[in-house]
Amino acid sequence: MLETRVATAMADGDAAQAADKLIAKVRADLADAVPALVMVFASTKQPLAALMPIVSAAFPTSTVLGASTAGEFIETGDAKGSAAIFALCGDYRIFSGLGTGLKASAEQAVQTALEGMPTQVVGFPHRTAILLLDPLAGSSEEATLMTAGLMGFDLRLAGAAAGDDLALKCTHVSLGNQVVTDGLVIATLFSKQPLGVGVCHGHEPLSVPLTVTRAEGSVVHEIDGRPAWQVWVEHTHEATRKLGFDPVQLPAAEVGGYLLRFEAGLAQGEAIKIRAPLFRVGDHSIGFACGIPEGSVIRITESEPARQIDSAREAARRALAQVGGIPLAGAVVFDCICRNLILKDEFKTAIAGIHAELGRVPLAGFETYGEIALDAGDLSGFHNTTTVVLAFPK
Amino acid sequence: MEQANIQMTEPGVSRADLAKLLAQALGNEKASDVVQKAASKLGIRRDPLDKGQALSVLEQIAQTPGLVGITARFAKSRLHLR
Repeated sequence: MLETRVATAMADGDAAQAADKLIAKVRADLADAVPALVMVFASTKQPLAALMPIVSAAFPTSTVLGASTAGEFIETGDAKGSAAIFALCGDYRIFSGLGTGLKASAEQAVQTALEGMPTQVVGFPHRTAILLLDPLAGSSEEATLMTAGLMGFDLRLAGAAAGDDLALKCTHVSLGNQVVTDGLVIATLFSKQPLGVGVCHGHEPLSVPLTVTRAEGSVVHEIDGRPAWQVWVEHTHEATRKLGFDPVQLPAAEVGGYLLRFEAGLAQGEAIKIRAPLFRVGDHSIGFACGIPEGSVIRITESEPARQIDSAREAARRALAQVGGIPLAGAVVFDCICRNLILKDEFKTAIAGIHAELGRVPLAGFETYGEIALDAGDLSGFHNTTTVVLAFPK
Repeated sequence: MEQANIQMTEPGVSRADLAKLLAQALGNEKASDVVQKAASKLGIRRDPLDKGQALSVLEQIAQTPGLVGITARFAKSRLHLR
Protein backbone atom coordinates (compact mmCIF):
# COMPACT_ATOMS: atom_id res chain seq x y z
CA MET A 1 0.00 0.00 0.00
CA LEU A 2 1.28 3.46 -0.88
CA GLU A 3 2.08 5.59 2.12
CA THR A 4 -0.12 8.66 2.43
CA ARG A 5 1.79 11.92 2.21
CA VAL A 6 0.55 15.46 2.59
CA ALA A 7 2.05 18.78 1.55
CA THR A 8 0.70 22.19 2.53
CA ALA A 9 1.62 25.77 1.72
CA MET A 10 0.29 29.28 2.01
CA ALA A 11 1.11 32.26 -0.21
CA ASP A 12 0.02 35.82 -0.85
CA GLY A 13 0.26 38.17 -3.83
CA ASP A 14 -2.00 38.19 -6.84
CA ALA A 15 -3.50 34.95 -8.14
CA ALA A 16 -0.64 34.13 -10.50
CA GLN A 17 2.04 34.89 -7.91
CA ALA A 18 0.28 32.89 -5.22
CA ALA A 19 -0.33 29.95 -7.57
CA ASP A 20 3.34 29.79 -8.53
CA LYS A 21 4.45 29.74 -4.88
CA LEU A 22 1.88 27.12 -3.86
CA ILE A 23 2.70 24.83 -6.77
CA ALA A 24 6.45 25.14 -6.20
CA LYS A 25 6.15 24.28 -2.49
CA VAL A 26 3.94 21.23 -3.14
CA ARG A 27 6.26 19.94 -5.85
CA ALA A 28 9.26 20.42 -3.59
CA ASP A 29 7.65 18.60 -0.66
CA LEU A 30 6.21 15.71 -2.66
CA ALA A 31 9.21 15.29 -4.98
CA ASP A 32 8.03 13.22 -7.94
CA ALA A 33 4.80 11.98 -6.33
CA VAL A 34 1.57 13.02 -8.04
CA PRO A 35 -1.19 14.12 -5.66
CA ALA A 36 -4.51 12.32 -5.87
CA LEU A 37 -6.26 15.32 -4.34
CA VAL A 38 -5.42 19.02 -4.26
CA MET A 39 -7.53 21.52 -2.33
CA VAL A 40 -7.06 25.28 -2.61
CA PHE A 41 -8.57 27.79 -0.19
CA ALA A 42 -8.24 31.35 -1.44
CA SER A 43 -9.18 34.83 -0.29
CA THR A 44 -10.92 37.36 -2.53
CA LYS A 45 -7.43 38.75 -3.32
CA GLN A 46 -6.74 35.60 -5.34
CA PRO A 47 -10.04 35.02 -7.18
CA LEU A 48 -10.57 31.33 -7.89
CA ALA A 49 -11.38 32.19 -11.51
CA ALA A 50 -7.78 33.35 -11.94
CA LEU A 51 -6.10 30.92 -9.52
CA MET A 52 -7.66 27.56 -10.31
CA PRO A 53 -6.79 27.30 -14.02
CA ILE A 54 -3.12 27.65 -13.06
CA VAL A 55 -3.27 25.12 -10.22
CA SER A 56 -5.35 22.66 -12.28
CA ALA A 57 -2.89 22.87 -15.17
CA ALA A 58 -0.02 22.12 -12.79
CA PHE A 59 -1.74 18.97 -11.49
CA PRO A 60 -3.62 17.70 -14.55
CA THR A 61 -4.28 14.17 -13.25
CA SER A 62 -5.29 15.23 -9.72
CA THR A 63 -8.77 16.03 -8.43
CA VAL A 64 -8.49 19.76 -7.71
CA LEU A 65 -11.10 21.42 -5.49
CA GLY A 66 -11.32 25.04 -4.40
CA ALA A 67 -13.26 27.38 -2.15
CA SER A 68 -13.18 31.10 -1.54
CA THR A 69 -12.55 31.96 2.11
CA ALA A 70 -12.75 34.41 4.98
CA GLY A 71 -9.22 33.57 6.18
CA GLU A 72 -6.66 30.88 5.50
CA PHE A 73 -4.24 28.85 7.57
CA ILE A 74 -1.73 26.03 7.58
CA GLU A 75 0.09 24.40 10.46
CA THR A 76 2.52 27.30 10.84
CA GLY A 77 -0.03 30.09 11.14
CA ASP A 78 -3.00 31.97 9.71
CA ALA A 79 -3.47 34.88 7.34
CA LYS A 80 -5.96 37.08 5.55
CA GLY A 81 -5.71 37.88 1.85
CA SER A 82 -3.79 34.69 1.10
CA ALA A 83 -4.27 31.28 -0.48
CA ALA A 84 -3.58 27.91 1.15
CA ILE A 85 -3.08 24.54 -0.52
CA PHE A 86 -3.44 20.95 0.68
CA ALA A 87 -2.06 18.15 -1.51
CA LEU A 88 -2.61 14.46 -0.75
CA CYS A 89 -0.71 11.49 -2.21
CA GLY A 90 -1.50 7.87 -1.46
CA ASP A 91 -3.77 4.93 -2.13
CA TYR A 92 -7.03 6.69 -2.96
CA ARG A 93 -9.59 6.54 -5.73
CA ILE A 94 -11.34 9.88 -6.05
CA PHE A 95 -14.43 10.82 -8.03
CA SER A 96 -15.87 14.31 -8.20
CA GLY A 97 -18.69 16.40 -9.60
CA LEU A 98 -20.08 19.93 -9.62
CA GLY A 99 -23.66 21.18 -9.46
CA THR A 100 -25.17 24.63 -9.88
CA GLY A 101 -28.54 26.24 -9.21
CA LEU A 102 -28.29 25.47 -5.49
CA LYS A 103 -30.69 28.24 -4.51
CA ALA A 104 -33.38 27.04 -6.92
CA SER A 105 -33.02 23.35 -6.05
CA ALA A 106 -30.55 21.78 -3.64
CA GLU A 107 -31.70 18.35 -4.79
CA GLN A 108 -31.02 19.05 -8.46
CA ALA A 109 -27.61 20.58 -7.71
CA VAL A 110 -26.59 17.54 -5.65
CA GLN A 111 -27.93 15.07 -8.23
CA THR A 112 -25.97 16.81 -10.98
CA ALA A 113 -22.77 16.69 -8.92
CA LEU A 114 -23.26 12.99 -8.14
CA GLU A 115 -24.07 11.94 -11.69
CA GLY A 116 -22.04 8.85 -12.59
CA MET A 117 -20.27 8.74 -9.24
CA PRO A 118 -19.70 5.13 -8.05
CA THR A 119 -20.84 4.06 -4.59
CA GLN A 120 -18.10 1.47 -4.19
CA VAL A 121 -14.66 0.60 -5.52
CA VAL A 122 -13.24 -2.89 -5.15
CA GLY A 123 -10.27 -2.94 -2.79
CA PHE A 124 -11.12 0.42 -1.24
CA PRO A 125 -13.67 -0.35 1.46
CA HIS A 126 -13.90 3.08 3.09
CA ARG A 127 -15.75 6.03 1.62
CA THR A 128 -15.56 9.68 2.67
CA ALA A 129 -17.04 12.60 0.77
CA ILE A 130 -15.94 16.22 0.76
CA LEU A 131 -18.67 18.80 0.08
CA LEU A 132 -17.90 22.46 -0.59
CA LEU A 133 -20.78 24.84 -1.24
CA ASP A 134 -21.98 28.43 -1.57
CA PRO A 135 -23.79 29.29 1.69
CA LEU A 136 -25.33 32.47 0.31
CA ALA A 137 -27.75 30.26 -1.63
CA GLY A 138 -29.36 29.60 1.77
CA SER A 139 -29.61 25.82 1.30
CA SER A 140 -26.57 24.49 3.15
CA GLU A 141 -28.28 21.96 5.46
CA GLU A 142 -30.62 20.98 2.65
CA ALA A 143 -27.69 20.22 0.32
CA THR A 144 -25.84 18.34 3.05
CA LEU A 145 -28.80 16.08 3.85
CA MET A 146 -29.44 15.53 0.14
CA THR A 147 -25.82 14.51 -0.40
CA ALA A 148 -25.88 12.06 2.49
CA GLY A 149 -29.31 10.73 1.51
CA LEU A 150 -28.38 10.16 -2.12
CA MET A 151 -24.94 8.72 -1.45
CA GLY A 152 -26.01 6.17 1.16
CA PHE A 153 -25.90 5.96 4.88
CA ASP A 154 -22.48 4.43 5.38
CA LEU A 155 -21.03 7.71 4.17
CA ARG A 156 -18.76 9.88 6.24
CA LEU A 157 -19.03 13.47 5.06
CA ALA A 158 -16.89 16.56 5.72
CA GLY A 159 -16.72 19.97 4.12
CA ALA A 160 -17.51 23.62 4.38
CA ALA A 161 -19.37 26.65 3.16
CA ALA A 162 -17.16 29.05 1.23
CA GLY A 163 -16.44 32.61 2.40
CA ASP A 164 -15.74 35.99 0.83
CA ASP A 165 -13.69 37.88 3.46
CA LEU A 166 -16.88 38.83 5.33
CA ALA A 167 -18.32 40.81 2.42
CA LEU A 168 -21.27 38.35 2.46
CA LYS A 169 -21.89 39.14 -1.21
CA CYS A 170 -20.64 36.28 -3.36
CA THR A 171 -18.78 33.05 -2.58
CA HIS A 172 -17.27 30.53 -4.97
CA VAL A 173 -16.37 26.86 -5.13
CA SER A 174 -14.46 25.08 -7.87
CA LEU A 175 -13.64 21.76 -9.46
CA GLY A 176 -10.64 21.75 -11.78
CA ASN A 177 -10.81 25.06 -13.60
CA GLN A 178 -14.61 25.31 -13.33
CA VAL A 179 -15.46 28.04 -10.81
CA VAL A 180 -19.07 28.64 -9.78
CA THR A 181 -21.23 30.56 -7.36
CA ASP A 182 -24.70 29.31 -6.29
CA GLY A 183 -23.25 25.83 -6.54
CA LEU A 184 -21.44 22.97 -4.87
CA VAL A 185 -18.68 20.45 -5.50
CA ILE A 186 -18.53 16.91 -4.15
CA ALA A 187 -15.50 14.62 -4.13
CA THR A 188 -15.77 11.02 -2.96
CA LEU A 189 -12.58 9.52 -1.61
CA PHE A 190 -12.35 5.71 -1.56
CA SER A 191 -9.59 4.58 0.76
CA LYS A 192 -8.10 1.44 2.29
CA GLN A 193 -8.26 2.91 5.80
CA PRO A 194 -11.04 5.00 7.31
CA LEU A 195 -10.54 8.76 7.39
CA GLY A 196 -11.43 10.62 10.58
CA VAL A 197 -13.97 13.42 10.86
CA GLY A 198 -14.20 15.34 14.14
CA VAL A 199 -16.50 18.26 14.93
CA CYS A 200 -17.01 20.42 18.02
CA HIS A 201 -18.22 23.89 18.96
CA GLY A 202 -17.87 26.03 22.05
CA HIS A 203 -21.02 28.17 22.05
CA GLU A 204 -23.64 28.51 24.78
CA PRO A 205 -27.04 30.22 24.89
CA LEU A 206 -27.10 33.92 25.68
CA SER A 207 -30.84 34.55 25.32
CA VAL A 208 -34.06 32.94 26.45
CA PRO A 209 -35.83 30.69 23.89
CA LEU A 210 -37.25 32.79 21.03
CA THR A 211 -39.76 31.61 18.45
CA VAL A 212 -39.39 32.33 14.75
CA THR A 213 -42.86 33.64 13.89
CA ARG A 214 -42.34 34.69 10.27
CA ALA A 215 -39.78 33.25 7.87
CA GLU A 216 -39.38 32.48 4.20
CA GLY A 217 -36.75 29.86 3.35
CA SER A 218 -33.50 31.09 4.85
CA VAL A 219 -34.74 34.61 5.69
CA VAL A 220 -36.18 35.22 9.16
CA HIS A 221 -38.47 38.24 9.23
CA GLU A 222 -39.99 38.10 12.71
CA ILE A 223 -39.11 36.58 16.07
CA ASP A 224 -41.75 36.51 18.79
CA GLY A 225 -43.86 38.67 16.47
CA ARG A 226 -41.27 41.46 16.22
CA PRO A 227 -38.66 42.38 13.58
CA ALA A 228 -35.82 39.85 13.74
CA TRP A 229 -33.01 42.43 13.57
CA GLN A 230 -34.49 44.40 16.47
CA VAL A 231 -34.76 41.24 18.59
CA TRP A 232 -31.14 40.33 17.84
CA VAL A 233 -29.90 43.77 18.81
CA GLU A 234 -31.87 43.79 22.05
CA HIS A 235 -30.82 40.36 23.23
CA THR A 236 -27.15 40.99 22.48
CA HIS A 237 -27.14 44.50 23.92
CA GLU A 238 -25.30 43.66 27.13
CA ALA A 239 -22.72 41.50 25.36
CA THR A 240 -22.03 44.03 22.61
CA ARG A 241 -21.78 46.82 25.19
CA LYS A 242 -19.03 44.84 26.96
CA LEU A 243 -17.29 44.37 23.64
CA GLY A 244 -17.49 48.12 23.03
CA PHE A 245 -19.78 48.47 20.05
CA ASP A 246 -23.41 49.11 19.20
CA PRO A 247 -24.75 46.94 16.36
CA VAL A 248 -27.18 49.67 15.32
CA GLN A 249 -24.24 51.99 14.59
CA LEU A 250 -22.22 49.44 12.63
CA PRO A 251 -21.44 50.21 8.98
CA ALA A 252 -23.12 47.76 6.61
CA ALA A 253 -19.82 45.97 5.93
CA GLU A 254 -19.50 45.01 9.63
CA VAL A 255 -23.00 43.69 10.21
CA GLY A 256 -22.06 40.19 9.01
CA GLY A 257 -19.22 40.00 11.51
CA TYR A 258 -21.58 40.99 14.34
CA LEU A 259 -24.20 38.40 13.38
CA LEU A 260 -21.55 35.69 13.05
CA ARG A 261 -20.41 36.45 16.57
CA PHE A 262 -23.91 35.92 18.00
CA GLU A 263 -25.35 32.96 16.16
CA ALA A 264 -28.64 31.15 16.61
CA GLY A 265 -28.82 27.88 18.55
CA LEU A 266 -31.43 25.14 18.11
CA ALA A 267 -31.94 22.84 21.09
CA GLN A 268 -31.02 19.34 19.95
CA GLY A 269 -31.59 16.97 22.82
CA GLU A 270 -29.38 18.39 25.56
CA ALA A 271 -27.00 19.99 23.08
CA ILE A 272 -27.19 23.13 20.95
CA LYS A 273 -27.01 23.07 17.16
CA ILE A 274 -25.82 26.38 15.76
CA ARG A 275 -27.33 28.14 12.74
CA ALA A 276 -25.44 31.08 11.23
CA PRO A 277 -27.11 34.41 10.54
CA LEU A 278 -25.09 35.91 7.70
CA PHE A 279 -26.57 39.26 6.69
CA ARG A 280 -29.33 41.77 7.34
CA VAL A 281 -32.11 41.81 4.76
CA GLY A 282 -33.62 45.27 4.44
CA ASP A 283 -33.94 46.99 7.82
CA HIS A 284 -35.67 44.25 9.77
CA SER A 285 -34.88 40.73 8.56
CA ILE A 286 -31.90 38.38 8.82
CA GLY A 287 -30.63 35.94 6.18
CA PHE A 288 -29.25 32.56 7.30
CA ALA A 289 -27.03 29.91 5.70
CA CYS A 290 -29.88 27.39 5.59
CA GLY A 291 -33.63 27.23 5.96
CA ILE A 292 -35.09 28.35 9.29
CA PRO A 293 -38.71 27.14 9.36
CA GLU A 294 -41.43 29.17 11.05
CA GLY A 295 -42.06 27.80 14.52
CA SER A 296 -38.39 27.05 15.14
CA VAL A 297 -37.30 27.91 18.67
CA ILE A 298 -33.85 29.47 18.79
CA ARG A 299 -31.53 30.84 21.44
CA ILE A 300 -29.00 33.52 20.53
CA THR A 301 -25.57 32.20 21.52
CA GLU A 302 -22.07 33.45 22.34
CA SER A 303 -18.75 31.98 23.32
CA GLU A 304 -15.72 32.73 25.45
CA PRO A 305 -12.29 32.56 23.78
CA ALA A 306 -11.08 29.74 26.06
CA ARG A 307 -13.99 27.55 25.00
CA GLN A 308 -13.12 28.16 21.34
CA ILE A 309 -9.59 26.90 21.88
CA ASP A 310 -10.78 23.87 23.89
CA SER A 311 -13.39 22.92 21.29
CA ALA A 312 -10.84 23.12 18.45
CA ARG A 313 -8.63 20.65 20.31
CA GLU A 314 -11.64 18.42 20.99
CA ALA A 315 -12.54 18.31 17.28
CA ALA A 316 -8.99 17.16 16.53
CA ARG A 317 -9.16 14.47 19.23
CA ARG A 318 -12.48 13.19 17.82
CA ALA A 319 -11.03 12.96 14.30
CA LEU A 320 -8.00 11.10 15.62
CA ALA A 321 -10.21 8.68 17.52
CA GLN A 322 -12.07 7.83 14.31
CA VAL A 323 -8.88 6.59 12.63
CA GLY A 324 -8.22 4.33 15.61
CA GLY A 325 -5.12 6.09 16.81
CA ILE A 326 -3.12 5.39 13.63
CA PRO A 327 -0.49 8.12 13.11
CA LEU A 328 -1.67 10.75 10.67
CA ALA A 329 -0.18 12.04 7.45
CA GLY A 330 -2.10 15.32 7.58
CA ALA A 331 -5.46 16.99 7.91
CA VAL A 332 -7.84 19.50 6.39
CA VAL A 333 -9.51 21.84 8.89
CA PHE A 334 -12.71 23.78 8.28
CA ASP A 335 -13.08 26.44 10.94
CA CYS A 336 -15.95 28.89 11.38
CA ILE A 337 -15.04 32.55 10.82
CA CYS A 338 -16.80 33.38 14.09
CA ARG A 339 -13.97 31.67 15.95
CA ASN A 340 -11.47 34.04 14.38
CA LEU A 341 -13.71 37.00 15.23
CA ILE A 342 -13.83 35.88 18.86
CA LEU A 343 -10.21 34.82 19.25
CA LYS A 344 -8.58 37.58 17.19
CA ASP A 345 -4.79 37.22 17.66
CA GLU A 346 -5.32 34.09 19.76
CA PHE A 347 -6.69 32.25 16.72
CA LYS A 348 -3.16 31.00 16.15
CA THR A 349 -3.37 29.31 19.56
CA ALA A 350 -6.38 27.32 18.37
CA ILE A 351 -4.48 26.22 15.24
CA ALA A 352 -1.46 25.30 17.36
CA GLY A 353 -3.77 23.24 19.59
CA ILE A 354 -5.19 21.32 16.64
CA HIS A 355 -1.69 20.82 15.28
CA ALA A 356 -0.47 19.44 18.60
CA GLU A 357 -3.45 17.09 19.02
CA LEU A 358 -2.92 15.67 15.53
CA GLY A 359 0.74 14.85 16.15
CA ARG A 360 2.21 17.96 14.49
CA VAL A 361 1.43 16.80 10.94
CA PRO A 362 0.82 19.21 8.05
CA LEU A 363 -2.63 20.76 7.97
CA ALA A 364 -4.39 23.34 5.84
CA GLY A 365 -7.77 24.96 6.12
CA PHE A 366 -9.87 28.05 5.92
CA GLU A 367 -12.29 30.20 7.84
CA THR A 368 -15.75 29.33 6.66
CA TYR A 369 -19.36 30.49 6.71
CA GLY A 370 -20.42 27.00 7.82
CA GLU A 371 -18.96 23.55 8.35
CA ILE A 372 -20.10 20.11 7.23
CA ALA A 373 -19.60 16.93 9.23
CA LEU A 374 -21.90 13.93 9.09
CA ASP A 375 -21.14 10.41 10.21
CA ALA A 376 -23.13 7.24 9.60
CA GLY A 377 -26.25 7.54 11.77
CA ASP A 378 -26.23 11.33 12.04
CA LEU A 379 -29.40 13.16 11.05
CA SER A 380 -27.92 16.56 10.40
CA GLY A 381 -24.61 17.55 8.88
CA PHE A 382 -24.45 21.31 8.49
CA HIS A 383 -22.91 23.17 11.40
CA ASN A 384 -21.86 26.64 12.40
CA THR A 385 -19.31 27.95 14.92
CA THR A 386 -17.50 24.61 14.80
CA THR A 387 -14.11 23.27 13.93
CA VAL A 388 -14.32 20.28 11.57
CA VAL A 389 -11.16 18.20 11.20
CA LEU A 390 -10.78 15.72 8.32
CA ALA A 391 -7.83 13.50 9.23
CA PHE A 392 -5.83 11.33 6.81
CA PRO A 393 -3.98 8.37 8.35
CA LYS A 394 -0.50 7.44 7.08
CA MET B 1 -36.58 -31.46 13.21
CA GLU B 2 -39.33 -29.53 14.87
CA GLN B 3 -39.26 -25.84 14.03
CA ALA B 4 -39.97 -23.27 16.70
CA ASN B 5 -42.89 -21.06 15.88
CA ILE B 6 -41.55 -17.63 16.67
CA GLN B 7 -43.69 -14.59 16.05
CA MET B 8 -41.59 -11.49 15.48
CA THR B 9 -43.13 -8.27 16.71
CA GLU B 10 -41.62 -5.03 15.51
CA PRO B 11 -40.97 -2.57 18.30
CA GLY B 12 -43.07 0.58 18.26
CA VAL B 13 -41.77 4.06 17.52
CA SER B 14 -42.77 6.71 19.99
CA ARG B 15 -43.61 10.25 18.92
CA ALA B 16 -40.62 11.38 20.95
CA ASP B 17 -38.39 9.01 18.95
CA LEU B 18 -39.77 10.41 15.71
CA ALA B 19 -39.16 13.96 16.89
CA LYS B 20 -35.59 13.03 17.80
CA LEU B 21 -35.00 11.98 14.20
CA LEU B 22 -35.90 15.49 13.09
CA ALA B 23 -34.50 17.50 15.99
CA GLN B 24 -30.89 17.46 14.83
CA ALA B 25 -31.82 19.68 11.90
CA LEU B 26 -34.96 21.43 13.18
CA GLY B 27 -34.47 21.70 16.93
CA ASN B 28 -36.49 19.94 19.65
CA GLU B 29 -39.50 22.20 19.66
CA LYS B 30 -40.13 22.43 15.91
CA ALA B 31 -39.52 18.69 15.53
CA SER B 32 -42.11 17.81 18.21
CA ASP B 33 -44.58 20.25 16.70
CA VAL B 34 -44.41 18.85 13.16
CA VAL B 35 -44.70 15.26 14.43
CA GLN B 36 -47.80 16.08 16.52
CA LYS B 37 -49.45 17.97 13.66
CA ALA B 38 -48.73 15.25 11.09
CA ALA B 39 -49.99 12.48 13.38
CA SER B 40 -53.10 14.48 14.09
CA LYS B 41 -53.71 15.12 10.38
CA LEU B 42 -53.46 11.38 9.73
CA GLY B 43 -55.83 10.63 12.61
CA ILE B 44 -53.18 8.68 14.51
CA ARG B 45 -53.82 8.91 18.23
CA ARG B 46 -51.76 6.06 19.63
CA ASP B 47 -48.27 6.39 21.03
CA PRO B 48 -46.07 4.50 20.35
CA LEU B 49 -46.83 4.14 16.66
CA ASP B 50 -46.13 1.00 14.69
CA LYS B 51 -43.39 1.32 12.09
CA GLY B 52 -45.86 1.77 9.22
CA GLN B 53 -47.60 4.61 11.03
CA ALA B 54 -44.27 6.20 11.86
CA LEU B 55 -43.25 6.10 8.21
CA SER B 56 -46.63 7.59 7.27
CA VAL B 57 -46.07 10.45 9.67
CA LEU B 58 -42.64 11.15 8.19
CA GLU B 59 -44.10 10.89 4.69
CA GLN B 60 -46.74 13.43 5.65
CA ILE B 61 -44.05 15.80 7.00
CA ALA B 62 -41.95 15.18 3.88
CA GLN B 63 -44.65 16.95 1.82
CA THR B 64 -43.70 20.23 3.54
CA PRO B 65 -41.56 22.46 1.31
CA GLY B 66 -38.03 23.40 2.31
CA LEU B 67 -35.86 22.16 5.14
CA VAL B 68 -38.70 20.51 7.09
CA GLY B 69 -39.62 18.27 4.14
CA ILE B 70 -36.02 17.45 3.26
CA THR B 71 -35.25 16.55 6.87
CA ALA B 72 -38.29 14.25 7.01
CA ARG B 73 -37.28 12.50 3.79
CA PHE B 74 -33.83 11.93 5.23
CA ALA B 75 -35.25 10.71 8.56
CA LYS B 76 -37.62 8.35 6.73
CA SER B 77 -34.69 6.70 4.97
CA ARG B 78 -32.93 6.29 8.31
CA LEU B 79 -36.05 4.76 9.89
CA HIS B 80 -36.36 2.30 6.99
CA LEU B 81 -32.89 1.00 7.83
CA ARG B 82 -33.75 0.28 11.45
